Amino acid sequence: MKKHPFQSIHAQACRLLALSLAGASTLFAGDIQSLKLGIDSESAYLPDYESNVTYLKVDLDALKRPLDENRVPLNIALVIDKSGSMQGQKLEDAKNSAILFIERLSPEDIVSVVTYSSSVQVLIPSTKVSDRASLIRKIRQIESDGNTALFAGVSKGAAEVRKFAEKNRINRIILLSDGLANVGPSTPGELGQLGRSLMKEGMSVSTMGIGYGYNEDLMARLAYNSDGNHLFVEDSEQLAQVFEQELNELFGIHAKSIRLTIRCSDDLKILRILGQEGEIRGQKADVYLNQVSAGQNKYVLIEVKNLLEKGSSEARTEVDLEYYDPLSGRTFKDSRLLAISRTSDREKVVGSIRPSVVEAATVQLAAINTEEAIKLRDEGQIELARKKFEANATLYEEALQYVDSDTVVKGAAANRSDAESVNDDANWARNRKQLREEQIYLQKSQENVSSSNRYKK
Amino acid sequence: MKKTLILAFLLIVILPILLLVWIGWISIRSEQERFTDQIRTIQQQRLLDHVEKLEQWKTGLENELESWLSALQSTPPDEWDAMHHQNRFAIRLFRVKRDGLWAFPDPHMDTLTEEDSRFMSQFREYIPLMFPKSDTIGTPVQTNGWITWYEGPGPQWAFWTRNADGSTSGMILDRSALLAEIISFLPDESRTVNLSKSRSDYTQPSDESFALVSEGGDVIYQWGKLTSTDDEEVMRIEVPLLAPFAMWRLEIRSPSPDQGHTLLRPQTLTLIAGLLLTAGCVILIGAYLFWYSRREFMLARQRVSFVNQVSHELKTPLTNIQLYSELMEDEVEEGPAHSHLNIIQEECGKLNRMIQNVLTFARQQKQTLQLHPRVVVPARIILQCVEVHRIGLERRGLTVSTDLDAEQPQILDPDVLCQIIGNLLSNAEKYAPGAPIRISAHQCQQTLHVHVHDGGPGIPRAQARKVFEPFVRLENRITEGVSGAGIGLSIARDLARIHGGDLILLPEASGAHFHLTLSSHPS
Repeated sequence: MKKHPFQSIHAQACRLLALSLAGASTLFAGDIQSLKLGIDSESAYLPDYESNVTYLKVDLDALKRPLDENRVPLNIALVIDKSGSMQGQKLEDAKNSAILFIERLSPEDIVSVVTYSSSVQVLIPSTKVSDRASLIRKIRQIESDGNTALFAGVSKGAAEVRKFAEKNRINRIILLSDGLANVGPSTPGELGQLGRSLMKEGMSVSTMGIGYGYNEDLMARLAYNSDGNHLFVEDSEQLAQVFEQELNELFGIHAKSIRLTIRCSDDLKILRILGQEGEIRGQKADVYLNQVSAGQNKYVLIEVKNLLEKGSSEARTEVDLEYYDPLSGRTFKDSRLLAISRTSDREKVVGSIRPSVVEAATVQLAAINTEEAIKLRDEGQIELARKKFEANATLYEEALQYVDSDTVVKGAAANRSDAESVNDDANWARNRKQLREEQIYLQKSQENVSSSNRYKK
Repeated sequence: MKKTLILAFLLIVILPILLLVWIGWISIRSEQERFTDQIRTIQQQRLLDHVEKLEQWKTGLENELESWLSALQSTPPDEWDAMHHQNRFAIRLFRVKRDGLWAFPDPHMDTLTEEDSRFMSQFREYIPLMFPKSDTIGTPVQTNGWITWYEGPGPQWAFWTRNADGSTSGMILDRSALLAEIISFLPDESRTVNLSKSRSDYTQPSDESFALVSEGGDVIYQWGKLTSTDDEEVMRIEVPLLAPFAMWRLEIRSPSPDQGHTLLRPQTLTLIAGLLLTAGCVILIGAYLFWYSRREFMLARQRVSFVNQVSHELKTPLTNIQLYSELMEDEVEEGPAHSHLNIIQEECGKLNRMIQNVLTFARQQKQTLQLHPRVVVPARIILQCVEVHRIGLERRGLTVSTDLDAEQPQILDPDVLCQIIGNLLSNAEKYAPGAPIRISAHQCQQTLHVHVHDGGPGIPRAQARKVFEPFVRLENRITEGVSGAGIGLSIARDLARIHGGDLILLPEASGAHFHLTLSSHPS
């Protein structure tokens, strides 16, 4: 079994988080901004002798907070697959984790439980977590049968969340499934579209795929498009930990409905947005995030082309941030301006390269390659897929000359090993799920927060 | 005799029962159809209720979208491109000027994307739908509407509203968001499942399932549970949604009312019980009639059998009486004693004939009757026979005239011929006293035709058939005071038939006219 570089990074990050939590003594008042905005470019200078493609990185750092601090009340729908394939230990683990989850909620939180098989049952309509015992009793009675009406399950879960989708709550659907959606809409496109629409309502869907039988493309798209987490839970035993992790993230959310607007001067053409879902309109790029949790560092990478014909001595990029703090009930705004000078001095350009931007660009480009590699592998073009992984490894290796980072070192090694194991049919189902999880995770550019990788042996 | 009885029994019992069963079946069927129709109507109504609720939802959605779109008016066009993020149903916004030209996306704006251009070229053909030419004056201008078309995975929807300045604003709707919304609006399982199964008031979930079915026949959403999966046992009723979702339909599946359970319904049970009761009654009546007629038949048989035995016993003494009276006739001189003797002989002849009839009847019943044909001249036999009876007939005022054209020798049983003629004469003697009797005969291709025509009151046509049935005596005033067992004509006809001929009663204005045919016996 391969050891992935991100595992250790996350472990490290977590230690850091723990340290900072222990040391935190300051109480955060409501008027303190929870998000720190930053912007940087690949290099401090743009060349004025060639029209190169370069990257701008917009950072969002959420302040770390102690977990016992006042938190934003939650509004959660647990959507649990109880189809025939969940029968036995999987369902038991799912039920137990759901119970543990509910036990950790406070009476101010709202929870609903929706189960689905061929049809959907709103087992617990949205309710405050005041009578835990009756909620738990109901969850214990879930029995498995039938097919997988995943779309309908999420729809009903969304309807329950919608009932109390207040501005001052964290609205989230947590979807558990181990199977392929086979009743109702069931393509990644349709589920992704649903995710996008839920995102607009400020709801995120975190999807937890159990075992090797679920459709990771569909679950990943649903999570990615709604700004939720997608987690590959190889063994249902890990569910309790995964839930715990999810809950910790939810408890740490102090910024929601985040909107980033990036405007570039005419001499920078925005090519694409990496790291988050966004929309480009001419010189403007809009990025929406549902939430950022305490301690998380999220970033947006903007790929731009340096247009010499319109060029002046300085290219300017302006970024506006707007978000809502549910605890204080305030909307915060912030903005940064980045001016990059053009120079004819090649040494100067290369010499002032920013490692963090190179690293982010490497990771994002590699993630895109990974997605393509998976697609090629699905089509049976194993050699081409192998070449993609090898290209990724090369990408990481090339980055090494600018970046001294574990991520990059291990990224190179991991992609080498992916290239080798790409024709390993026996473990492909597992590897594919892992790759998809990592790819989504990286594309969501959650730098410092651990993914479920941490729990993998 | 027995066969006819069984036939009669079958007719009396089986036929009505069959009829009843048939009627019962028909009525069960129609009851069933009625029941099925009723169920269908009920189920259809339930679906329509859901459709109506969805219609209310649609109206709500239209209002929501309309107010959202009209609020958008205050947003400057350069901010429109971000606005679809504010509405979960919108994946794209558009605005078309009064003259049908694009206001948003603006073909001239520098931020126009490839996707915008693709959308504009695709959507162009639907623009006229938002600006219908009103050819009727006074027709209110449509203020909002839906546009539906097919693209990619399925139908696409656009909703538009007309602005105050005559332009239209609209959005392309997100299919998944619409579906999720409709699904969240439809019922789920929680109503049918009772959570505490141990409780005594646990109600069995009803055995039916609902489904929202897509244009391609795929289930989009379903609720309820149907136990049977066999298509033939399932009644499926569907109702399309209303526009603009008319390509989708709601469907209900429930166990077909045609299956099995029909027999257990109270109405059907009552009907079947009634049928069984009626059938039982009919069988009882039939059995009684059968028993009764059989008893009558047995009685008649016993009577014949008794008479038969008695006749056997009477035959020898009668022969002796006849023999000795004939001997006496030679010894007695003319005078009253002689005529008394004649009467004795005559009565003996009658008695003899009666005995002969009874014996013939009995033999025929036992099917032991045998013919003894030989070559005879029919005219001579008839004359002999008439001579035997003449004295007795004349005493009762009957004259017998003969016109016999039957001199050809023929193979016949003379005793049979004589017995038939005798029975016919005896019949005339009894029922047509004082009238002349004409007997004519002719031969035609080995068949002897004999006509016996009396001048009596005749036989009513309605009863013409009955006279040949044994033990039947026509009940009217003529028969009053007339003796006889009622087997004479029956035996005469049976004998004629055995002899390959027939005896029929010809319709006549007056008197009874019998027509006898006897064909030459082949042996």
